[in-house]
Order: sequence, then C-alpha cells, then structure tokens
Amino acid sequence: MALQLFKIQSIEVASQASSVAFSNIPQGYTDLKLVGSVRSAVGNIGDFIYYYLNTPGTGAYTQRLIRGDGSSISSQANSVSYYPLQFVNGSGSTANTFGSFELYIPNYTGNAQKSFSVDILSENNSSGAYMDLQVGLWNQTAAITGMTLASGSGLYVANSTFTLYGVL
Amino acid sequence: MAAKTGTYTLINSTTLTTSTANITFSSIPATYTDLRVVTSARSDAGDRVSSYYFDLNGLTTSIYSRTNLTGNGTSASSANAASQGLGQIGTITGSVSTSGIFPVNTMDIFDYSNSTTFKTVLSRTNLEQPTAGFEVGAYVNLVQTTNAINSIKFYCVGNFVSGSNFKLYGIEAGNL
Repeated sequence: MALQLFKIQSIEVASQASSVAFSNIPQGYTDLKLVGSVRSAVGNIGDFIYYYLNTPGTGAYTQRLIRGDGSSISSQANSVSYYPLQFVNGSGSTANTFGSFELYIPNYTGNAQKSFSVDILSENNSSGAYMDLQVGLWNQTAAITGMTLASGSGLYVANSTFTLYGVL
Repeated sequence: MAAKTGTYTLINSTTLTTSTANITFSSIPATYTDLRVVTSARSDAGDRVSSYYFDLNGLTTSIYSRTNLTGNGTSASSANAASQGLGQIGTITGSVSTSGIFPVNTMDIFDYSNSTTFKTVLSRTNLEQPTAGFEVGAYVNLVQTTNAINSIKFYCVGNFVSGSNFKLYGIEAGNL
C-alpha cells in the first residue's frame, strides 16, 4: 500500500527566530496538514502566532473557536488580516513546555475560499493553559503556495518545530 | 502475518459533479487499523446551516447516540441525543450561504474492523462563513453495533451540491 501522507518540509528553530515560512508548496497533493510544537520567548504564559497563507497581507481571515481553560468554556470570533493561531506556550509557562497544534486544509489547490480546521493547546501543568477547537476561513480563491508563521511576541525559542505534510 | 507498513492510504474519494442526495463508501477493506474521513461539502437546503449525518453499514435503526461540544463565536454549548436513527458529523453550508464555501469536516473511527466492541466515531465540524451561520466543535457518536464497519453513508438536508468532496483514508499501525 502506498504511503499517502508525505512530509513536505520540517523546520526546527535552532536559535531564536521571529518567523518561519514554507514557500513553493508543491501543488500535487490534495490536502495540507501543518503540525507544530512551539514555545515563544515572550514573558506571558501563552502567546499567539500570526499565520498567513501565500503573501502576508493578502485577503482576510475569519476565525471562530471554542475554548476550554480548565474551569470554563467560551466561544470567540475574530476577523482580521491574519489568522491568529492562539495559544502556544510563552516563556512565562512551565519550563520546557511547548504548545501543540494541528492545522488541516483540504483541497488547497482548488478555486474555492479556503476553509481549514485547527486544534491547538498550551498545557503547562499550571494555570493559564488553553485548549481550542478552531475553524478558519481565508476569503481568497487562489491555490495555496506558501505559509508564514510569525511569532506574536517576536521570537520562537530553539527546538520549536513546524512540519508540513501533503496528503493525497 | 504480513508485516505492517504503518501507512496512511487513500481508500476512496469522490468529488461531485452533480447534486446528489447521499454518498456511500462501501466494501471498505478490513485490513487497516483506523479510518479517517475528510469532507468538504455543501448542501442545497434553503438555509445557511445544514445538519450533516452518517450511518455505518447501512444501519438506520435507533442505535446512534451522540454528545457534542460546539461554539458559534459568541457562546459555547453542549448537547446530547440518544436513540437516533443516524449519527451526526456536524453541520455544513446550505444554499443561502455565500457561494464557494465548502466547510471541512473530519471523522475518525478507531479499530473499526473489530467484531467485539461498539463503535465510537469522533468528528470535528468547522462551519465558518460571512454574516451568519457558524459552528465549530466536536461530536462523539456511539454506534451500537459490534460488526466490523464496511460502509459509511453520508446524508444532508436536501442534496450535496456539485463540488462537494469526500475522502476515506485507512490508517495502518506499524510494528513496534
């Protein structure tokens, strides 16, 4: 049986970096899956990521999420020029803890607006952690050829990793 | 026993070119460990939000129960339903929705081919669109059949429209 989940590229931050980018994404897959293990250098418990498709600043994003923080649940909607991947662990969280996320974009080469699913969490064995189920919508119909993830605080710490898979 | 390969394999996929009432993946091989379904679907129901259902093995008796956790951007809620004739995946857009929006929904059925346990289906629903009609969250369905799963049928209110896409993957665990 052929393997149909292909690692396109993996980026591991060797020293602090402000952003990572995937460019020239091959167009031969059906869906994309982005997985991250991330910690930022900001002095808060949690931090967010500015997520862009193709050229940053192109199009608009809407986000709807449901969130649990260990004591309550809530729902939130956002409409901005970037997609806020929130939250991953910041430097104020327990040492050596990294937030995780999975972002899935089906039919990324198609000519419809791009709807995507995000599961993200920032557990750190203390207070201030969040777990979200999110949906994003990018209002552009172009095929996805690139992604940029910029740290909301300004810097990712070393060992933060981002892996992009193509799915047939 | 053949060596496990630890693969993620596309078993079947379909993209509609005309409106269709139901989609069925049948003759699902029993050779994988888990199943994953990924859909981008839209209905022609006269609404912004259309419920999205499934059955397993063609069973439509009251063997489905579910609990969900969802949010609409303003509030979060949870609900459950017992003794249903279909399972629910979540929601999709309808004919009143902005054109060109096909929300992504996923389903996971772990250990689908065993003939011992009832089956649990985990789904994620992601309905985002301009103006109105939103749902983000997760559903868990219990399907009270111990039979191995060999088919999955998808339903919506009305028909699925052209451009709706359905993909079924088999995931085979590797050897430790």
